[in-house]
Amino acid sequence: MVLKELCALRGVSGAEAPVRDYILEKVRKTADHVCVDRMGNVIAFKRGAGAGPRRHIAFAAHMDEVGLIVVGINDNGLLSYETIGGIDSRVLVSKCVLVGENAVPGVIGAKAIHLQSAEERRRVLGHGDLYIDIGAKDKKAAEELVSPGDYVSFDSEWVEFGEGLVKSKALDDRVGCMTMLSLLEEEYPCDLTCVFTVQEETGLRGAKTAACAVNADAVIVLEGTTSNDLGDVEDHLKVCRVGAGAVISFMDKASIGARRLFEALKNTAREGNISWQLKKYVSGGNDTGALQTNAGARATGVISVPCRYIQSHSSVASFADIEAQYLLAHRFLSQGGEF
Amino acid sequence: MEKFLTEIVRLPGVPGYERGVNQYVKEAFRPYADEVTVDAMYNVIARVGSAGPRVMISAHQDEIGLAVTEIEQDGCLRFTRNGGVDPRILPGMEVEVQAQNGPLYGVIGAKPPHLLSEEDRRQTLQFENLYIDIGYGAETARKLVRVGDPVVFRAKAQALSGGCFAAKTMDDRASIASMLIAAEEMSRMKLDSTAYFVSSVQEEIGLKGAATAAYALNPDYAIAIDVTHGEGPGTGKWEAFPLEKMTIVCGPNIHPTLYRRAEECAKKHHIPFAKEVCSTPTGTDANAIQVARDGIPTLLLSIPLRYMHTTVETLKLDVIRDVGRLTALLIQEIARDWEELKWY
Amino acid sequence: MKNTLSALLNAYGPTGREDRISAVIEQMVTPYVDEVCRDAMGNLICVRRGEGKRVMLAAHMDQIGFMVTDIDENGFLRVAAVGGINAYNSIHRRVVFENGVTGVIARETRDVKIEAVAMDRMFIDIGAEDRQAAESMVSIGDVAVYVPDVAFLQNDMVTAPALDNRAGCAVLVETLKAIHTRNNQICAVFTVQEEVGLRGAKAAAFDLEPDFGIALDVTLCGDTPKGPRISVKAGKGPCVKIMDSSVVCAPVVVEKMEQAAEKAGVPWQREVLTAGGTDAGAMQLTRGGVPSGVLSIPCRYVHSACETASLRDMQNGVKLMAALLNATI
Repeated sequence: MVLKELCALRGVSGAEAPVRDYILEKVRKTADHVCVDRMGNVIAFKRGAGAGPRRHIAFAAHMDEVGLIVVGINDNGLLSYETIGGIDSRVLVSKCVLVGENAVPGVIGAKAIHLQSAEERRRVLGHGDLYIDIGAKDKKAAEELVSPGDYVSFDSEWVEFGEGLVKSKALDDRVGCMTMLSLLEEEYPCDLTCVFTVQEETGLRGAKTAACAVNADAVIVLEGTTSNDLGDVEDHLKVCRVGAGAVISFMDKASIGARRLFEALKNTAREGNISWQLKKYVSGGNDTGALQTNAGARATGVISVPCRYIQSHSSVASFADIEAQYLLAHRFLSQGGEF
Repeated sequence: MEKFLTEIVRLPGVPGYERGVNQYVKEAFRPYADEVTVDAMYNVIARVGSAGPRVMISAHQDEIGLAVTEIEQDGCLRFTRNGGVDPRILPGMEVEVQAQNGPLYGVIGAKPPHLLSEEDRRQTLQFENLYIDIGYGAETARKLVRVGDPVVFRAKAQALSGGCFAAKTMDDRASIASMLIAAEEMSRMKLDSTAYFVSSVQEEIGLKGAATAAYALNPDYAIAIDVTHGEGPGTGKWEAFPLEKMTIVCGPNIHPTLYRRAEECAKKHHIPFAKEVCSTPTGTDANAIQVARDGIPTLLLSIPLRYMHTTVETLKLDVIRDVGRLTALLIQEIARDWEELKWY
Repeated sequence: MKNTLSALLNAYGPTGREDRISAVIEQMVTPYVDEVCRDAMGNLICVRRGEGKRVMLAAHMDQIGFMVTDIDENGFLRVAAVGGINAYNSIHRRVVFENGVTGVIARETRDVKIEAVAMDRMFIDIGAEDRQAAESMVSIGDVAVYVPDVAFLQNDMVTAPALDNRAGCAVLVETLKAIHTRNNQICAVFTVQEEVGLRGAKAAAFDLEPDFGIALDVTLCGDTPKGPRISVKAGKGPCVKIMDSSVVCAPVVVEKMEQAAEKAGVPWQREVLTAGGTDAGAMQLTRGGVPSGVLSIPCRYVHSACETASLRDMQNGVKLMAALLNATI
């Protein structure tokens, strides 16, 4: 399965090469024109069918995932790290990771609960208290396997569970990448550009440079977005619900979508009987923020897949929602990208 | 180089008002450059060479400082910061108000210790409670000073033992000295490269000059030079570096190929360096340059320096020279196999 | 000026929903410019052709507002701030949607101290019976603004919500009427989405590639009892901005504006604002760099429902801008 393969690839922001290479191999077969810009973004263009004036619609999804980077090796062989992208230190404790290009296995541990004082148990373990242990007995032994600057990704198995759910790392935003790979396999009555960006998690940096390559009538970002739908959460703070369909956003911290496009996406979903929901909270930001303004004005929209525990080792999404994201994008293009 | 540093740190150049440094920088590069220009943002751009790959080298000429916000009834001046000034270093600081008709000497007032309560001593200082005393009453002060006039710090440069040098504005005029050394070497080497040495502006308020210069020049790749934290009192593990050697930075902000080439080049020529890992976009021109146009592969070389953003920024002169040399050597090596080089 | 301003203050136009205010402005300016168009974000671009340099004038037409994010079973609307809304200032204020539906902003009173109230704990009450009734009037994504409530005070002072930045829009509209030469290429842009980060101006400046940029916006005043520490006073003339947190204005533009003020014979003030940003911050960083400046109108109580400014400052602002733009820049 393409999504399973995509999620397994290691592509922490700044080290997306494995994901890029995989995607390049696929899109070179389906797109008319493919290029990699100097930032590392993949830009794939496919002409629409038929003669005459056509709409040009661009989609974007990011290839990178959150992770860590080794900043130093301690005398005892433990590795100090910093995070790349926002990661809550509390989700790192007791997890497996892979370090560097050679994927050296490591673990992030913590002092055994038996040895902690009452006060220690109450305290949150910050990144400064945590280390990556690759089993090296000292600094010299560690240096033979890893070096500062090595990117560290989560080592997380693909697990299908419950009612059509999947748990993996990097669902944000390999789901969007997969949707675009599928779109490129089809023929549409409009021109299509698909942009696979790098470094979204470090501040929409890939999208900033990709913006000059997407001179389209509309830019639609395909994302994985936060869902906070379980536990003691009040309704108006849930953002969106896993299993309730593709999420259409009107606003987040980085952009406000074009109104007509927002309405068109809602109508497309309604008419196509595609399961959809609105994002019911203003949070987060995605590549739209950069694509909308960085190289002139663009009409933008966002279609997301709800993801629980986003930016952790174990994010969870629903296959039905992933399908709905594709169906909505597909139907919009099939109708010529009108809005 | 000591002469250059001593002279250049005296020139006023708060963000947006770098005109005061422009002429000096232009003259300094002129002997080595084919052309020196100043753009609309006051970036000074010195071009060396005219063939081969086009590389932008960037170090910023602006300095942190203050701006007058109000002239009070008693003649004292209220101010705010222009760039990342720590208000705690200000009491008793000597300054120069860059007034319309010439600089005015002033001192930033501080309550005498006898009058400080225990609570006062614990309070961090706020800009709005500080003032500049220029020694005039309100009427004269209002004639001489206007709201918005830039204010620079006044401090002398001081050579220390062991090849160390302390002065204000070593961040980042020391890196301009490195660029000069690189320009000099390159003009001698007759390279197959076109180098644009950009003394950039408004770095301290958001890397602005480098962003626009990178867009305008659209180079094939770029090398930013800036200062980084040197090991000193209170610095933690992995966040500060020994003064004796430059750092070569790696992380998402830096193109991996350029990092690798710089490391190889430094090793080959026995130039000492430390590796600095930066997990976030750096607070340097490299950050803005990388995301200009369709993405510009960028490298960052840093000079470790103690007491950043004070008037006694301390570093080693040898490191300035090393950075200049490595810059020139690296550009030379990249020019040699430019045709084969692939970014991805 | 008074009529122009009143019409602008009464038009609906929050960030991201600028269609109505844009239509009002279009009608006002069309007779005075050669060309009017909109870009993909909704920036209203008005061109007056001429010789010489291209000058982009930017006045943002969006206003802060409240976007509906959820509708509960009892018909209350949950909202998010669009732009720099002060939650505390908004409690028990009347708001209105684009379709005229009116409501009041209220807050959860249990467990939350009024000083610490956040938008998550606030809602709009439109009086609806239940969710279904509310949904027939309002949709998620709709935006409410403070009910326009314009009053003229003593001494040519005016108070209303949205003076930020309909004051700047009014000055720009009147300036377009006052330009009678063809010495410069004028691109007057009524920008969108300034309140969420200068987004419209950034995109428009990239497309227009101006030689100079001048933003028209409001700034804070320091003339109220124990008010903010800023030298600016309402009624003492428009301000030539020196810097704020988004921009250090290009000295060449500042000089030109000061000379224009002298020439026009109007009072003016130099302004250093220690917080806040303007469209000039975005214009300046466009492409290879665009020297930019700002004409500010002093305004008290910015981002509240009773922003207060002086009509005289706006009139003098027009004279200053006309003197600047009728000459060759």
